[in-house]
Amino acid sequence: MNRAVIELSIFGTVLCSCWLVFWLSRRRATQPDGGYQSTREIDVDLETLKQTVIHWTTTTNHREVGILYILFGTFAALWGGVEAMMMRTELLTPSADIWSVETYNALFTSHGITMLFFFVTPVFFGIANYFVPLLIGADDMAFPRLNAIGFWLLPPSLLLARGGLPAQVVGQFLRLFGVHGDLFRFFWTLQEPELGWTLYTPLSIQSPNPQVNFLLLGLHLSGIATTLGAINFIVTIAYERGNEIGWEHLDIFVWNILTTSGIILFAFPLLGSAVIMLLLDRNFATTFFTPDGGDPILWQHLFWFFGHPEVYIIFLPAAGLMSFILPKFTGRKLFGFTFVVYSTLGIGVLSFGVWAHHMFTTGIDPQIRASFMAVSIAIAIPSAIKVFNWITTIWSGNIRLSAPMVLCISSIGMFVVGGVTGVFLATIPVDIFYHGTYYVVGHFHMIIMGIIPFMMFAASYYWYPILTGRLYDRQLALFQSLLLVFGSVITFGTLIVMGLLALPRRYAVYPPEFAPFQRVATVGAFLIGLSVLLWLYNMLWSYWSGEPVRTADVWGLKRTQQFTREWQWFEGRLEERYGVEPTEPEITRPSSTTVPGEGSPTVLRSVEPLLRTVPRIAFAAGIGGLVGTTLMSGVLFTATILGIFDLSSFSELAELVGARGVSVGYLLFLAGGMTTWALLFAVFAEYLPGRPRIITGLAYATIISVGFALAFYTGQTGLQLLGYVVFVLIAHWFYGFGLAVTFQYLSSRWQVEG
Amino acid sequence: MTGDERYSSPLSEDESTGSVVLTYGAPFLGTLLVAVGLAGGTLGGYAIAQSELGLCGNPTIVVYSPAETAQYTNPGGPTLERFSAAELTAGERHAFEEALRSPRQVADVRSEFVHRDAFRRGVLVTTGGTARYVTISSTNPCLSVDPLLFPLGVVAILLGILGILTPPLYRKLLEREERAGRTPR
Repeated sequence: MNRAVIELSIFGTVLCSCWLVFWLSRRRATQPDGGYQSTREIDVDLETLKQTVIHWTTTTNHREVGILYILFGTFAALWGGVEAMMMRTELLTPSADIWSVETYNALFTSHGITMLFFFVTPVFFGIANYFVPLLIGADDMAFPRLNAIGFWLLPPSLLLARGGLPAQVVGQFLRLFGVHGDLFRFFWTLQEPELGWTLYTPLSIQSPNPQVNFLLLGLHLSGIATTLGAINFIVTIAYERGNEIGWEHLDIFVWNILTTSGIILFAFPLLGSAVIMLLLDRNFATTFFTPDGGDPILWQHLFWFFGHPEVYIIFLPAAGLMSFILPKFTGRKLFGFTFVVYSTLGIGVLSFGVWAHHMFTTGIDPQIRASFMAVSIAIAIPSAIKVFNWITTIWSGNIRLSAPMVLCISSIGMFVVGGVTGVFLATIPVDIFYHGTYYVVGHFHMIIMGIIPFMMFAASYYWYPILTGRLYDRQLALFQSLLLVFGSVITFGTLIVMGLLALPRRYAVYPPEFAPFQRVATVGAFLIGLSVLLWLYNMLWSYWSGEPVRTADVWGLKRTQQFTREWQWFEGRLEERYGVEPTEPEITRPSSTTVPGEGSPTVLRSVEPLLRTVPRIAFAAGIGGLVGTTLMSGVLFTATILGIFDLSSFSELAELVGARGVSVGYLLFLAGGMTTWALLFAVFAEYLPGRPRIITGLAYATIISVGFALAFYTGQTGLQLLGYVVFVLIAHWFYGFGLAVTFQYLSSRWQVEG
Repeated sequence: MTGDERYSSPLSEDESTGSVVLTYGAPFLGTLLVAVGLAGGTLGGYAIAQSELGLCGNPTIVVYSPAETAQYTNPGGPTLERFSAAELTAGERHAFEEALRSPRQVADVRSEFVHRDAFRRGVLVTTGGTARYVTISSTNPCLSVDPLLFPLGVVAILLGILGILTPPLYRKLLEREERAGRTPR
């Protein structure tokens, strides 16, 4: 089937339908807007049109540039979305009988590139452009012209990167009309690359398709645009804040944009360099990434040193929106604001230290792999801090299940599934098995679909009144949100299941036994597509025919004193333009207070002393662990002399972290006894059976001895095995005794509850 | 209910279960039907159109340049079947020559493809003393599904649209009854 023509036709149909909705809704727009007649008339005479075009192409106003970014990103999202639907359509059947194999390869390449580079970042930049200056009390961005230039570099970069598709269509039309010659050859030769969005070498060097060169230039240009935007955000947030807004008063969304911009500053120039090197390899016979003279793996190192931070570049603004919007619908302040900021900064730093986990299967040095495994697992911690803070913010809050809130809660769920499946992938043995399967596709879509567009939709609903002066259709929005969640869970959950069943990814052809799963995933994807169309309809229709805003406090934020600066600006604007009087609710309460039953008091009161006592508990547990492990070592030493415990098991422990030797293994054993198991005891001591504490310690040690017995077993049989089990048990009782007694003594001495 | 609550609270308490089902349940089932209908209808419809329009059954071959071919002619490399251009059938030869001319180095084999199996494994075709590696890059098989999927898909889509439009249709029905002076059920 002629993919190029069909894709452009579907995309064109979607855009035309948008225009139709726009036009129909405008005809029905008769209601007053803030007390004034709201017929947003469009004069179509040439002069007005000319002025409109000049205005929108030369504007440097941060809000208008923001809208341009959002429109551009939405355009790209629809384009990439059509490709996703086409891919899923192909996968309805096991063989490549709807699109050809080449077409399928081109589809998943361009889908990835479009969504990552031209959809997510521009939309978040758009939201940030509009709202960051409002949130920090700035008049505009620090460099308004640079801001506009940053945006206007994007359309040409999209054209360069995605020019293969229109070129193919032009080529086909030229052939249809019998046109040949150089012009025809130019258009006919360009086609969408079939490399995968990671552009792995040496395939990307060898591909004869000249469109790959344009794609690389387009990516480079988009990198320049993004870096310009990031510099502007950093300078704006640092120097353009209002007098009353210190660093401690920055909104959480602003913190996230600041961190994101910081990551961009280091990540995108690297992509630019790597892309230039690839261009040189392709066109000027350099050998950076060729097997003879260079190293194809070098490309992966450079690419992923950009690519993994890129994951957080697109995640952090979404996390910022979640942290910003969620409290508004729970009536409570964001729990642990400071820790959420620290986790954001932590992610920003750690994001540069995890790139090699994308390369576990490339045969890089095992010790290096182990280090990257450790860091990759560690980056789950700041992400988990965010999740726990979001959940705690919801906890016993006054929840209002509006569309943004439904999206927030669902996002947390999707993010947890995506995150946990990611922790497994960060583990080398699991990654080696699942790396090339749909498990990975399901995992990262759970995150990049489950939180990024979800939060964009949530933001579009939450700030819709500010953006348009209207209210959207609430019922349709709620329905659309639920449909989106349902479709996403079905689609990406199925992908994870297919991955667990070891179905390889990136293939147009697959074994027939997977057809039912693929069909379920496709129907889920169509549900996502339909929900996106419903969102578009709601946005466009409500722009003209939605309920006009009669108060700036649309969400009742004043009741919980969360009427943030952008809404205050909006209130002032409504009053100034339309004479809409500011409203004041009869009863207000702070979103954070120490009065029981209001705000988030109970948790806050219990957390503060907890923060003081936690270090003491941890220290007591550590000392207890040292005493216990030392006693345990004595028993194990005796067992070694008797020949029923083999010290080589310590060597195996050392090998797990890529080292060798009994002594290294013993140190690890000692460290584990002082940290992991001792801290677990400190946490669970209250819930374990037995009194006094010494009995608890013995019970705990008995439970964990099973794990030790299995992990340190070295093939003993018969009486040796019996002796091994008995000595393991005795050693653990000694451990439990030492741990419990020391812990009890220290915690009572320091007056802390274990 | 105050104005700000009207647009931010989840659902007003006076909404009955029936109303919730009609507002959210019916459109949900409708959307599900549309999604299933799209999948079935596309497959069924395309199966009919594909063979009618001759969009399948012609495998695409790709011809590598002599330089790229070198890796397949190494002594330690795989043993490939060799053909001179004259040994190919008319359709194969035509596709080979078309691919040579094409900037993309690909072409469809539009008539009998006797050496299909060999081409799938990869062959070396010699012309004018130069050997080129040629292989099938896409088989373009015909879609074989039950044509009944198409009408069933269309029906599902139509039913689905009805489901999606249930809430506004129901509202209009109630308005009409109220205008007619009858008590709405």
